Amino acid sequence: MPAYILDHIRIKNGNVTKNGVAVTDKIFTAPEDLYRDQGCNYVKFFKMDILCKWAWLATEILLSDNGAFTYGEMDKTKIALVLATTDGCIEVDKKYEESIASIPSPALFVYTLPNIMLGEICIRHGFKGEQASLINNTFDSNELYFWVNDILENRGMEACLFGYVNAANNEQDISLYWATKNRTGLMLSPESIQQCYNK
Amino acid sequence: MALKPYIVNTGIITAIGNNTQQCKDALLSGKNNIGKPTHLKTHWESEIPVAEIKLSNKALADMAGVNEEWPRTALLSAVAVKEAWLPYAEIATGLRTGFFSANTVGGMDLTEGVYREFKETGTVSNISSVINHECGAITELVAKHFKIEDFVTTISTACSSSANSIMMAAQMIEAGMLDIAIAGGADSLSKFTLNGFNTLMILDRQSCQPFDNNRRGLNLGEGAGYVVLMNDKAMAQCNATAICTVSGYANANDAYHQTASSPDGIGNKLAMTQAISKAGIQPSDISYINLHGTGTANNDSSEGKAIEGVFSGNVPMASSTKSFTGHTLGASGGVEAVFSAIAIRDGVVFPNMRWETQMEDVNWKPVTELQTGIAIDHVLSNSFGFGGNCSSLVFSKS
Repeated sequence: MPAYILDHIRIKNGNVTKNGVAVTDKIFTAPEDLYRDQGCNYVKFFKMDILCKWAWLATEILLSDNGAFTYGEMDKTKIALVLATTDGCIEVDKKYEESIASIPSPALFVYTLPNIMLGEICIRHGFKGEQASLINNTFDSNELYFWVNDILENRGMEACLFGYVNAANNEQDISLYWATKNRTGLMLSPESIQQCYNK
Repeated sequence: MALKPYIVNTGIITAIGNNTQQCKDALLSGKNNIGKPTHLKTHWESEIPVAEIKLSNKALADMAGVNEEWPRTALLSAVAVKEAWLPYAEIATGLRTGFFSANTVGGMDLTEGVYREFKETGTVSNISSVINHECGAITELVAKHFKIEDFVTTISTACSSSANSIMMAAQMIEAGMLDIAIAGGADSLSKFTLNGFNTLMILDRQSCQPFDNNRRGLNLGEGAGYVVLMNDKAMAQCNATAICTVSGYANANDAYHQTASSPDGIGNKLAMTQAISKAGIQPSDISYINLHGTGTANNDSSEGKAIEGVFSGNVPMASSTKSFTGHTLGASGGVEAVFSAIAIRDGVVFPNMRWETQMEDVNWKPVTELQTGIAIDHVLSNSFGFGGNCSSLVFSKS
C-alpha cells in the first residue's frame, strides 16, 4: 500500500515554510526566537541542545493544526519516527568536552547522542512506534525513502514522521515530513522527498 | 500451543566468582568484591570503587580457550558461554541452536587504547585493535568460536539488554523457531562507562546500598551471564533436566527522560504487570523479586513505588544482588537470570547487602538476611535501562 506525504516543513537560512507557504515573514536563526514567535509553551525546550531544539520546533509546527495535532486520536504505538542528520550533536559535544576541564556537565552529557532528538519528540508527543536515527554525509532522499517505506509497508506502522535535521556552525538545514497511508498529499517516493527538500 | 522454554543450565562470571557454583557460594556467604580496580586503568581508581573480576585478559582467554587479543567483553562472554554450553556442545547435533548475546560496551576497552595513542602521537600502531569495536562483533566472535550459527543476534538496550535477549530467545523457542537458545549478555569495565556514569553523578564513592534511604549511587561491575533454554525435544536429545522455565516477559517504555526513570515508575509498572500476566499468574504468586536496585536515588525510588503499585501492600521478598556484583550493565539481566534460577532450584533468597535505613518514599523493605529452605515458585527479575527501556522476566518452577 503506498504512503503519502501529507505535510512538510522546511527550515533553511532562517526561512520557515510549511507545505511551501511561509509560516512567518520574519527570519529566524535562533530557535528560541522562533519558539516565542510561535507561542510555544514547553519548559523543557530551553535545556535542549541546538539539534533537539530545531527538531522539536520543526515537529511542533509541522504537526500543529489549528490548536490541535494532526495525529489526533491515532494509536501512538503505530507512529514511527526516522530522522537523519550530518553534523549530529557536534555543537553540544564541543561544549561537553570543554566542561570536562572543570566539572563534566550532566545536563550537556545527556544530549551528546544525535538520536536524543528522537527521544525529545517522543517524550513530547508520546510516539511509541518503530524508530531509526541515521547519519549521512548529506541529505539523502533515497535512504530516507528506504527506511520509511519499509517501516510503513512491513512493520505494522500507520504513520511516520521523518526527515533531515542538521544544525551546526550557526546554520540550519531542516526538512521534515509527515507521511500516512491516507490517499492525500504527495505519493511517497525518493523523488517527492527530494522535491520538497529542494523547495 | 506455544512450546515451553526451559532453563537447563547456566554460565556466569562476575566479581564474586568465575562460575555458577563460585557465585552461589559468594551469595550465600555474603562475600562481595567491590573495591579498587587492578586491571582497569583509570584516573578515578582511588576514588570510585568497582566490582572488577580479578583476572587478566590473558587469564580469561586461557579459561575460555580463546584469543587474548579479543576485547575483554568477548572474553567474559566466552568464559560464561563455555560453562553453560559445554555439556551439550557435542550432543546437540541437528538441533536448531541460537545465540542471543547482549552488551553495551563492545570493544571499547581496546578502542580507548588506540584513541589515546592517536590523540597523543597522531599515529596508530595497531589499528586491528578497533575491528571488534561495535557490539555485534563481540557476539560474532563468541558465536563463531562455539560454532553456533542457526541464529545469532546482539541486543543493546542499555541496562535491560540481556533481559531483552532472554525475552527474545524465549519467544523464538515458544514459536518453534529454535530448539535451543543460549541467551544473556556480557560487559566489561571501561573508561568510557566509568566516566559517563561519573558525569551523570550517580556513582557511589563507597560500596553501594540499594534501597537504603541514604543510598548514594551505584557501583559499576563487569561480568557475563547466560542461560541455556531448550524445548522438550532438545531436552530429551541432550538428556537435560529443567531448572525452571521462562514463563513471563515484557518490555515497556517510560518515554520520560534520556537517563532517568519517571518518578512513579510508569514503564517499570507496565513491564512487571505484563510479565506477570504473560506468566498466567497473579502478583501474589511471586515468591521473590530480584530487583533492578542499582542504588541510585532515582532508580530505587521509582522501582520501589512501581512495586508498591503492582503488589498493592503485599510485596514479596525482594533484594538487589547488585550489592554483590555491582551493576554489570548489559550483563545484569543475564547475571540476575542465573541468580533467579539458583533461587528457584535451591529454595534460597539472597540478601540485599548493607541495607540500614528505611526509604522515606517507599513503604516496604528488601530482604537483608539470607533465606534458605523455602519454596520459590516464581521469581520476578527486573532490568530497567536508560532511555526508559524497562524489562521484566518471570522464572517459574517447572
